[in-house]
Amino acid sequence: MTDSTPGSAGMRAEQYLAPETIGQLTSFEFRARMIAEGVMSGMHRSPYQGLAVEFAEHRQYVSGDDLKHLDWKVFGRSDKLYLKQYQQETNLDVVILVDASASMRFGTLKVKQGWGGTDASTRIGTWTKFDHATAVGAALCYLALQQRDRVGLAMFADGIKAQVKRSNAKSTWRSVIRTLATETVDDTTDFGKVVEQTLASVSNRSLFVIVSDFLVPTDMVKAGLARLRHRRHDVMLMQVLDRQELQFDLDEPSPFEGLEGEGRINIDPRVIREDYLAALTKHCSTLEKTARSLGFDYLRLDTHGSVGPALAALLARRALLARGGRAG
Amino acid sequence: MTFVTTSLAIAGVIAAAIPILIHILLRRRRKPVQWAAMLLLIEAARRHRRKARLEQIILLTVRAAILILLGAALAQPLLGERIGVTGERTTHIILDDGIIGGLVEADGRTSFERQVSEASTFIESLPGGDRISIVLAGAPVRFLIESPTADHRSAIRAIENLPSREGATDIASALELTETGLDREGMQAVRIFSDFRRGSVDDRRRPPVLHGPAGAPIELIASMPIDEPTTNVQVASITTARSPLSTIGTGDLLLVEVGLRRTGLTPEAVSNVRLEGDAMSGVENRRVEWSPGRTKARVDFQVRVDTDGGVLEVAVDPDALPLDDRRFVTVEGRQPTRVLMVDRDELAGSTRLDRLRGTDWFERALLPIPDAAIAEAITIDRVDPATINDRDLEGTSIAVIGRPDLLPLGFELTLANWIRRGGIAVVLPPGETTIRPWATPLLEALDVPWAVSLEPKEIDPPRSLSAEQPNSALTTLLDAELIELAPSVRINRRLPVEDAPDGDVVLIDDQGEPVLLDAPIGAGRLVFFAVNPELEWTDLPVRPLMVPLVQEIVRQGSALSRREVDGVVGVRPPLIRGSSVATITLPGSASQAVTGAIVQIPDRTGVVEGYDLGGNLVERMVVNPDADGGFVDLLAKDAVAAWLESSGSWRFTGSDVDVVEMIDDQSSLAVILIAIVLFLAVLETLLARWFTRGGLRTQRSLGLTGANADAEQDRSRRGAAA
Repeated sequence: MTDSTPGSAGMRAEQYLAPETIGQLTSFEFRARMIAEGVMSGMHRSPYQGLAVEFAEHRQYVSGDDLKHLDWKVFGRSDKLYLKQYQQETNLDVVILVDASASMRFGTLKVKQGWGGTDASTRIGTWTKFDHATAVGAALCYLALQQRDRVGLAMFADGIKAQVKRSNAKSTWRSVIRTLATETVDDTTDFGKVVEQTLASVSNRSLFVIVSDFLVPTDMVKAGLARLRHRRHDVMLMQVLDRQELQFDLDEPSPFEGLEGEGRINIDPRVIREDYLAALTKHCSTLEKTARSLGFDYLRLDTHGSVGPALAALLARRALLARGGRAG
Repeated sequence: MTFVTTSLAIAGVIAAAIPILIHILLRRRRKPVQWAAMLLLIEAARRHRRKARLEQIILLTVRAAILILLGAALAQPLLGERIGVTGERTTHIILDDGIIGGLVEADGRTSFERQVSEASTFIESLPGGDRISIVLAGAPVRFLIESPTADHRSAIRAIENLPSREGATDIASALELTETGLDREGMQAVRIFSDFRRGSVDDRRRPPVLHGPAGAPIELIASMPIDEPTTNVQVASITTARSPLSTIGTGDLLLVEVGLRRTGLTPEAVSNVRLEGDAMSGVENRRVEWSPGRTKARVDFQVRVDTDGGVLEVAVDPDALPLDDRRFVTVEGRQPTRVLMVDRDELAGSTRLDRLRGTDWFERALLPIPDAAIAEAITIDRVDPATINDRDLEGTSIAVIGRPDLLPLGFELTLANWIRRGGIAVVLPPGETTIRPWATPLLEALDVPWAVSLEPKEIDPPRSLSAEQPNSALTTLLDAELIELAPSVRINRRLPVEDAPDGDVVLIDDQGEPVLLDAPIGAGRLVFFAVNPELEWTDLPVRPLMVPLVQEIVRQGSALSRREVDGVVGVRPPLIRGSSVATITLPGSASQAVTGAIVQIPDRTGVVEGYDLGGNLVERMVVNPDADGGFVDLLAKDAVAAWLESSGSWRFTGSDVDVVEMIDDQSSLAVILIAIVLFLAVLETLLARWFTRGGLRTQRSLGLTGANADAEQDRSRRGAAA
């Protein structure tokens, strides 16, 4: 049974979903399940409970269950309390786009020897943005599949590098896990091209969850999002940034080298910090305004923080869509 | 290039190496940081460049100001009156290399060597463009470097091996010499290096007024008078006395009177005096016991002189100032004294007393009794005044001129030259008629101020010689007898003499009118009888006074004239008496030709040898140290300042504070500039650090956070509210 205390359950779930915790899970699959279930168990009440229209199974009544779902017929026959469980029916397609460009290799949260994760994080011993993005992506896939949504996955950089076709079949989950675990993290980002390739394979209205650092010109992002909006798709932008990128709290003058071939510059971080943070703030602000102006959601994730908010946001968004509303 | 303080320059070089060393030690190759958000970093760098440009301009301005002000401070700008003076600074250095500089100090160095060392340090401390000239103040005063030079190294080399001389210090003359170079362009300074003991300051002379170019002030700096008492015993004088009448025979002894002088501290002490030389055989020693406070002593020797004469040397035990511990004197051999009677020969041989002339009486007084010994000691020749020439004076010690009015025209110049070289001229007024005015040309030639009348004057009633006679070197030994012998002398006629200085009068009559006069002229003397020793003038020839008077004129006159023969370092050259001397050799100098009896003033003691044209040694002379410059008594600073005051306002400084004082005095603006430089240096450091930490922004940003962190914060807030 779930804890009925929202605060305590939420705190426990967040601790449970902290990168330091989930990073210790070597199995990619188990990690995704754990994240998704951790989020769901932490909720006070399932947001999609009661929305189902097709009976699935019975389960024994426990204190606190709503009596309206009680199967009185069973009670009459067996004198035992069982609840009727329903499976949700939906026509929502969820397409998760995970950025696998070279910039996603960046990370500063140290991980212990033997931790699980992507090849990128294993090599450098840190929890990278890509690790965070794949954890979020996998959890979202798992969550969506659990709710019988059709889920598709695409890994992108300067184009679609790998993808899993949308499906709510149980085999989809295996494909998603395999794709996330094996894809290389390289190349530059061409957001316009990615959107173009994605739209070519999607005909019906879908929810696009884009997990990326979005360290590309905002104009490029804006153009891609506009095209998605034009096709009446819904989009969630999940910008994954490392804490060092967010705070830029370095002390040693050093040469800085771009991961996507931007070259090298020698700077003193102490001197340039304020200007960097100003540029970052402006970039993120522009990105968020662009998303909001198109009716999309924007979420900035810190790789040193919990992945829970990302899932909660997705569930809230899904519930909104299921009720027929729109955010924007 | 030179530095004000060499040690500071070395420290500066070492200090400059420190940051370089730190840079090398801390230098490391930094590992490149792999960075994802290069897009933002490049944008930030672009933004920062604009802001950094302003910061760099500010830093550049401050740093440039530091360098400009530092350069100005090092250039030692001057305030006030010195601003108008242009050009490089010229320092005229006066080194006291007089005999007093030979004082040996506790560390074994002479005081002059110490002053040379201090002067070298001073020269090294001068800025590179400063010029220096150097004057040596030991007599004879001379330039060591006359044209001011900026080559400080050469100047130091020039003074490094200088010895102190045996002449007295003459700072007044050194300043006069320096004053000739003060009219040059640029700031002028005079720096005296001296201990300023008593021997360095000659009270008889005052330093000249020093003027700078166009009335500009001159910086006058002198060493602080030394305050280290010491004692010094010196051989101050040697007097030889030998009567011409006792020059011959086995009993011929020379009386050598040695005067010792003690200056500085005068404790109880003992001095050993030694007499030796090639004029005698063996060595004579005497012992002088100094009682406390005693400053003078006299030591008498009686020695048998060799036939040929020679040089005697007197020495005392070496003391702190060894340069004046010995002295030389020349001693003539056993040659008869030649006396030349210059008078007409018309009545020679007359035995009538009333017909005898002054020269006759003089001759009789010289040879009072027909003694063979005396006859060999004195050679008396006669010559007619009308025919006398310079060859007659050759070898003559004394010339008794009975008829000066009959001397050839122009002969007074020859006579004056002979007197100056040591001759003694005894002039008697013409006994009868005067042929021509003779006195004025002769006195003018000899530069004697007396006014002698042309005609004698009868005295009626006759006068007698005064019982109280003036003190005179010529009659020193007769002072006791004059009281009894003089009043008996009657005077009937006299030649009036006016304007005679008191020191020149030997005998006076009872009316105070001069009867006998004596004037030192060069190395010789002019002895003038205002009353001719003839019976028509006076009864002196037949009085008991006549013989001792004449004897003393010859003996004492000879002795006095011999004193002026020896040379003194820095004061006078030795007197060349022989006309045949063609070349001489001074101590420490090459042989030099004698031109018109003019000899270079010697700068060293020793024996001088004179050679004739054939290269034969014909005369020996000596040069002695100037003992008057060896006074080691201390002088107070005020006394020295008062003596120097006539030349300007002097500042006294010790050797260890020279440079500091000069810089302090000249660089008041430099101090202010250096203070500003220090302030700007601190400001630059703070600005550079501030700009490095974020520049003109004062608030440090915290950066962005993620949604997960925001959610955590929200939950924290909700939990706190619950």
